[in-house]
Amino acid sequence: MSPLEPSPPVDHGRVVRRHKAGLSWVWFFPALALAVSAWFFWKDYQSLGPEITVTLDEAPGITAGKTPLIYRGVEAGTVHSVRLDTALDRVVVGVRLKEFARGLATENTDFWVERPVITLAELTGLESIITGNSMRASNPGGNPCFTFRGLAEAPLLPLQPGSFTIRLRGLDVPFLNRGTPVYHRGVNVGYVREKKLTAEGAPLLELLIEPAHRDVLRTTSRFWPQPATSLTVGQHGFNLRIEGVDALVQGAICFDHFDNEGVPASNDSILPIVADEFTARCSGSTATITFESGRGIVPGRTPVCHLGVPVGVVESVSTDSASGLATVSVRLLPAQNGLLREGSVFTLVRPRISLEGVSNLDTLITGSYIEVEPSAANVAASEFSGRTVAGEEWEALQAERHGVPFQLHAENLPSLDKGAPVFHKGLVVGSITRKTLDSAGRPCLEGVIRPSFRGALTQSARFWRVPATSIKAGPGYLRMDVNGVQSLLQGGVAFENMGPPKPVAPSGSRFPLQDNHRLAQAVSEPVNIRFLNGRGLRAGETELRYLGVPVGVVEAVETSQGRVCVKARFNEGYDFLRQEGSIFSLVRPNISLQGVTGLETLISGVYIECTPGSSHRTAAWFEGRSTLDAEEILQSGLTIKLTSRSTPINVGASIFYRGIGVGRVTAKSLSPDGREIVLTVIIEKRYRHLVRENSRFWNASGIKASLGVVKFRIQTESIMAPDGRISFSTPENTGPVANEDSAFELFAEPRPEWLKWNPSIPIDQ
Amino acid sequence: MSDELRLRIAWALTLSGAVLYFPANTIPVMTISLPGKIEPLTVMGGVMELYRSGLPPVAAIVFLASVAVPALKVLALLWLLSRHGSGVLVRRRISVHAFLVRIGTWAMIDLFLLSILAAVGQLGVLAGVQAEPGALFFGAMILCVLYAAEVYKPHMVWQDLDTYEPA
Repeated sequence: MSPLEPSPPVDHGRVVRRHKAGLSWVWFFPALALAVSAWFFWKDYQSLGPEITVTLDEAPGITAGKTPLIYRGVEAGTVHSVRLDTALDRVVVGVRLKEFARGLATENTDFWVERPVITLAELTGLESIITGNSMRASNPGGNPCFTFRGLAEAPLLPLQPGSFTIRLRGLDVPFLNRGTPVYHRGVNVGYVREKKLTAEGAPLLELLIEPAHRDVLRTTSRFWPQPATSLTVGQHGFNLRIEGVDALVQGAICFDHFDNEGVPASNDSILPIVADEFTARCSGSTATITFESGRGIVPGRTPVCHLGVPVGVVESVSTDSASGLATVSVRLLPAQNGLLREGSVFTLVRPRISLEGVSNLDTLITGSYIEVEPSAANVAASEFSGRTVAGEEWEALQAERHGVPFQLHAENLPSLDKGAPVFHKGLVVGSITRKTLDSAGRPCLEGVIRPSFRGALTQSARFWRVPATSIKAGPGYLRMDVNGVQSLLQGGVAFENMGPPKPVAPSGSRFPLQDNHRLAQAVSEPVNIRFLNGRGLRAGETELRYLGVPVGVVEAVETSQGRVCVKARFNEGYDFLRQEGSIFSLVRPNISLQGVTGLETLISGVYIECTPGSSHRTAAWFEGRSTLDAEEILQSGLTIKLTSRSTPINVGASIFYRGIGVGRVTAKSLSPDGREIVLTVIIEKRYRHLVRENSRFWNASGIKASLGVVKFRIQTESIMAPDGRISFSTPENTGPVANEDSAFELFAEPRPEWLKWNPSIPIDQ
Repeated sequence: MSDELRLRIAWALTLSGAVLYFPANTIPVMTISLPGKIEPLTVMGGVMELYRSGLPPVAAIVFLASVAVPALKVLALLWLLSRHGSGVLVRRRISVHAFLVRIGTWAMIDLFLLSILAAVGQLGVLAGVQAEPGALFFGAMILCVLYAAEVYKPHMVWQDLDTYEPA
C-alpha cells in the first residue's frame, strides 16, 4: 500500500454511552447505610416501653438520661427526666421502661433509690459505690399503673408470696433493728423487718419468718433478744460471750417454746418479747408480792431465787399509793410452781454497805434478788407479803428471835448503830439490834447474845465500847488495834465478866455501858481526890498507877469549892490503895533546862501515881498533890522562907550550896502585908544542916560579865536554870541550925566576903 | 476506572456519609465508667465533657475534627458533585477539593482517641472506657466521606474547564 494512498478512514469506534437500566452497584453503600441506621433506630424505638413517673422525697445521684432502673440486676429502663414538683417538696423522676420490663408498670411495684448504706449493722448497696446510685424496682404485680410513690429506703426483704410475719411486743427492744436475724435453736429462720412504735407507744417488732420454718413458731414461743456480745461478771469470774460474727454487731432475736408445744402461730400474730433467755423460760405461775420498798428491783432482771438458785424472775413492779407498798409481780419456772404455797416467805436481798461493813457483796454485782423460802403448807397461793431486809439484818432478826436479849444504857451512845457486833474475848457473840431511848429518856442499846454463847453473859458482866480503831502509845510501845473489818469504822460493844463468878444473866438484863475498857475494868468503890489544878486530867482516860502499873482510871473530873475533884476507881485487886493515908500525886511532864521529869506523860498524858497508906481503914476522900509535892514528900526536907522586895526567881528554882543543888523553891507568894515577896524553899533533908541562922542567900541568876584590864570573865552560873538560881553561904562561925519556917532575906548580889566563907560543917547522917 | 464511575461512587459514598452522620452523632460512641457513675458519651457529649473538664482547646479541636469537619465535608462534597460538569467556579472547586483531601484524615482523631482510651483506660473498678455502636457509625461515616473525596479526582473538575472554556 502506497503511502500516498489515502488511508482508509480509521474506525475509531464510537463512544456509546450505555444507559443501563437498573441501579449501579455503587448505590449499595447509601442503601446499606440507610438500612443499618434505620434498623438501629427502629430497634431502639422498639425497646422503649411505657413511661412511668416515680415521686420520691429525694433523688440523690439520679441523672436524667443516664441513671438506669434496675430490676433483679437487669437494666429495665432509664431515667429520662428529673424535676421537682411545683411545691418543691417532692422529686418527680420520669423513667422510660424497656419493653420487656412493661410488667414493672403495675401498681404493687416498689421503687427506690439504691445507694450505699454503710453502718455497723448494715452494709448494702455496695455496688452503688462503683456504678453510682440507681433506681431500683421490686415486687411488681397488680393492675397497670404509671405513677408511683417511691420508698424512702430500700425494702430490706421484698415480701415474697408465702412469707410469714410475726409481731413482737415488749417493754423495750434496745439494740434490735431492721435486719436483725431471728434464730430458733441456732438456726436463722428470719429477720426483723421493721421496728416501730404502736399507737400506745410500745415498741413493736415485725419479724419475717421464712416460710420453710413457719412451723417452729408456736403460740407458746417466747422471744428474747440475744445481745451480740455479753459480758457476765459474777463471783465465778467473768464470762465473755460472742454469738458468732453474724450477730457480732447487731445482736439477734432468739425464740423457743421450751417443750411447751402449743399450736402453730398464725400469720401476723402478736407474741411477747422478754428481756433474756431466763425470763423467757419463766413461763410458770405468777405471784404478786408486796414490799415496803421496791428499790433495786428491775422488771425482767431481778431473779427470784430458792436456795440461791434462780427459779423465777420479776415481771413488773408497781407502786400502790394507797398502801404505800411496792407490788412486784413475779413469774416462776414451770417446774417451780410448787414454791408458791401459802406462807412462803419472800425476802428482797440487797447489798448493804454501811460503816459497819459490807454485806451481800454478791448482790453488788448480780443485783438484788428475791429469796423465797417455801412453807410446808400445801395450799397454793399467789399473793404474798415480802420482807425488805438484807441478809445481815435477816441474821440479826433471826438472832433476835432466838437469842438472849439484854439492854445497855449509857449517857450517850456515839457512833454505835444497829447491827454492831458484841464481842466477848474476841469472839462475836451477838449483835446490837436496836438503839433507842428507855423509859427514863436515857439512850439505850438493845442487843442479843446468840443462843450458843448464852452462858458467856453473867450478872457480873461489864460492857464497854470497842472503838473502831485505837492507837495507844507510851514510852517504849506503840500499839494500834483494829478490831476486825466489820468494826473498822463503827466499832462495837465488848463485855467481860469481872470479879467472882456469878450466875448467868437472865434474859433482858440491864448493864451500864462504859466508854472504854479501862473504865469497865475499874470496878472498885470510887475514891475522890482533890487537886489544886486539874490540867491534863481526863475522865475515862487518865490512869491511876501504882509502881508505874496502871491500876485504875479517873471516872469523872469536876470542880468544887475552887478545887478539882477527881473521882476514880481501881481495878479488881487494888482496893488496898483506897486505904486512909494513901498519897495520890499528879504526874505531869516537866521540862526545864535543868532536867526533864514525867516525860512519858507527854505521850500517855498525865497520870496519878498512887502510894498506898498504912492504915487499914478505907477512905473515900484524899488530898492530891502535884509532882513537886511528891518530891517534897519523899525528901521531907527543911522548909524556909526567903523574902525579897522583888525577885526574878520562880517556883522550881534550885538552891545551890557551893554549886551543888540542895533544894528547890516550891512556892512564890506575897507577904501578908504585901510589901515583900516570899519564896518558900525546901532544902533536902540531907543538906538541912547547912542552913544556919546566919546563912546568907542571894540571887545567883543571870549572866555577869566584868571587863578587867587583863582578863575578861563571864560568870554564867545559871544559864541552865531559867527559873533562876539561889545560892547561899554560911559563915565560918556557923550559927545554930535554922528552924523550920525560919525567914531569911534574899539578896540581889553576894558580897565578896560571902563567897570566901568556907566553914567546915559536918553532915548529919 | 472511568470518570463516570468515579463520579457515581463519589455520589454514593457522600450520600452514605450524609445518612450515617445522624446515627454517628446521636448514638453513644463510648461509655466511661468511673467510680460512682457510668456515662455513655456521644461525640458531642465527649466534646462537652472535655470543655467542662477545663480543656476548651482540646474540645475545640475534637469538635472541629469530629463534628464540624465531617458535616462540612459532606456539605462540600454535595456542593462539588452537584456542580460537576457545570463549568462554573472551577478554581474555587479545585481549592475546596484540595482542602477536603488535606483535612480529611483529621476527622479520624476521634476514633483514634477512642481506640487509645479503650485500650489504655481499662483500670478495673477505678475506670473503664468501652466503645459503643455509635463508634461504628462514626467510623463508617468518616470512611465514606474520606473515600468520596479521594475518588472524586481533581482532574474531573478541571476537565470542565476544557469542555466549557468560553470561546
